[in-house]
Amino acid sequence: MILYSNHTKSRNAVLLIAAILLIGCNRKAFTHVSDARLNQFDTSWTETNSKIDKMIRPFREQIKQEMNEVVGYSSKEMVKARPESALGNVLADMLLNFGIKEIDPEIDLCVMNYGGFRVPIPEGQITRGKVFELMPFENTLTLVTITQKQLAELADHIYQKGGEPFSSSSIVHLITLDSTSLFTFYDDEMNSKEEYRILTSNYLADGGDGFSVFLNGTKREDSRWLIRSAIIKSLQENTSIEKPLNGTIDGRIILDANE
Amino acid sequence: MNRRNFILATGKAAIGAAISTTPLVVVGKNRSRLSVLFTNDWHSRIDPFPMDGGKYQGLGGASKRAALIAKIRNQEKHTLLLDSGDIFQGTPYFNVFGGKLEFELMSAMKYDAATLGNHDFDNGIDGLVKQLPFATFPFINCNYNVEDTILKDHIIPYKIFNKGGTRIGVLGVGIKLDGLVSKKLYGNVVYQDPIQKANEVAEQLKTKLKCDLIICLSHLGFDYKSDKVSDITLAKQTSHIDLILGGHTHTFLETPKQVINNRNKVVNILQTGWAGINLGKIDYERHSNLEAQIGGNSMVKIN
Repeated sequence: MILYSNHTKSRNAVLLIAAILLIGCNRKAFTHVSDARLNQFDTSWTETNSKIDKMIRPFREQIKQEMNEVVGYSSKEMVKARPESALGNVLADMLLNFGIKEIDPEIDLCVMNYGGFRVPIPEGQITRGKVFELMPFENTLTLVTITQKQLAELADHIYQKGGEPFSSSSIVHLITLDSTSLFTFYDDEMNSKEEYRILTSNYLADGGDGFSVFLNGTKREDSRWLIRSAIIKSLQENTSIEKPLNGTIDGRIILDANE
Repeated sequence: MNRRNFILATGKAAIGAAISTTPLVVVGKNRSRLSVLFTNDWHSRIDPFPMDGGKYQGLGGASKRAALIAKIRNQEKHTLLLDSGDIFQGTPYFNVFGGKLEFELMSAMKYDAATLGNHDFDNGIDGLVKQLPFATFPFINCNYNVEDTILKDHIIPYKIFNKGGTRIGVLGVGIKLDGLVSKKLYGNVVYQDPIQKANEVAEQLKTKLKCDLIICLSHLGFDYKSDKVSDITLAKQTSHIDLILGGHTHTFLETPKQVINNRNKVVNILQTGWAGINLGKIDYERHSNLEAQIGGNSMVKIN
């Protein structure tokens, strides 16, 4: 066992002893080695590689074209607003229907967040790139099962936020009366369930945007569907020039009903 | 460079405070040195993050990563470049081209090996196999049984690299796909206990195949509050793995997490975050008959 060095014999001996001591411990000897090269890059690196740039370029150009592909149509410009909006309603309805078809037929309610939809949907053609702008996040559709009591908490949170997009296959209203908020379903059976299956985003299921109620749900099931992919697929399958997207404000949120 | 300067230069890259008090070994000529470079979860981030005010704006990008790798290779005689999975999914590049460009770029960067992440199944086994001709590097995994799938003959349990007389065994483990990936997509890939499988392969690499250094590419995830198997639990229960290069949880580890294994030896765990924001680098030194020792590590931000 010899360690080479450019220094004196006595220095070598010290190092040798040091090395023996190190190896002697019943664990792998970790030794930092004096070498300037180790830390040359430890802050940051900014140079590019022209060969790689050249490889990427045609793909990037094609992506640009792909982003210009029309994936759907809208009858009008839809802008988000609170407590409800054509944009929020149309997207919550769309994702609910998508979830029922692709994930689980037993979804009671779909809840998304106002903050998650980033730009208006324009009138006329909707491009793939526009959907990427609308939903730039890599959020996925997630099912959370909550109790009836938690459903009331959810309603209260949405009220406190001033309204968030939601949808149900039964006609649903969020009604706030004397500072108590409740979801009321047209289908009476829906009002007395013990548990509700909520389709939402993994972001909200993680308690994002104050939706901590989802953290206490009785069950969570993540799907593989990106919300963006779900929107694109829904637009492609369900809209056309003749049958454009047409969201409306339908009064599903009734805040302060006694006023 | 003297010790004081070295410590100054090392700064935050030092592997923990306790280590900084250990004596230094002055490097002589009779040594072999290996730089292990690694990424994980780059999620189709071909271009840097857009300059839109986001948290990671301007960071990452394959072109910058390639330039950095080339620079390091220019300075280090022996390198290994490894990836811990989730190469796919995250930008339109994947949605449009299905992962072809990701594999082509990794091949151009001369990756030595990668393991599979759950998102690498996002276009199904078919979608993965279709892109494999664009990858010049092998995919390593020992706990997915792919015998009944078209992945058969495309996945290897381990690979041994010989770098300057040092034999490096690289194995790979993947996360349970059920619940993360639709069954339709992963088909007949059978998940097996990653700890048991990794230990079997590592044992073989160490005793029969005489490897000096054993690296496990893992897409299990760094650590969980639940009892779900993670890099931490793997490290504790392993006997022969020296280094775990992790993924899945997008964990930014500036310095290795050190865990004591079942033979009372240290296992190092590293992970670079995600999206190609960092290139990880850990260097090993081997002096004559001594065991390979860690020479230093750094996380280089691709800025």
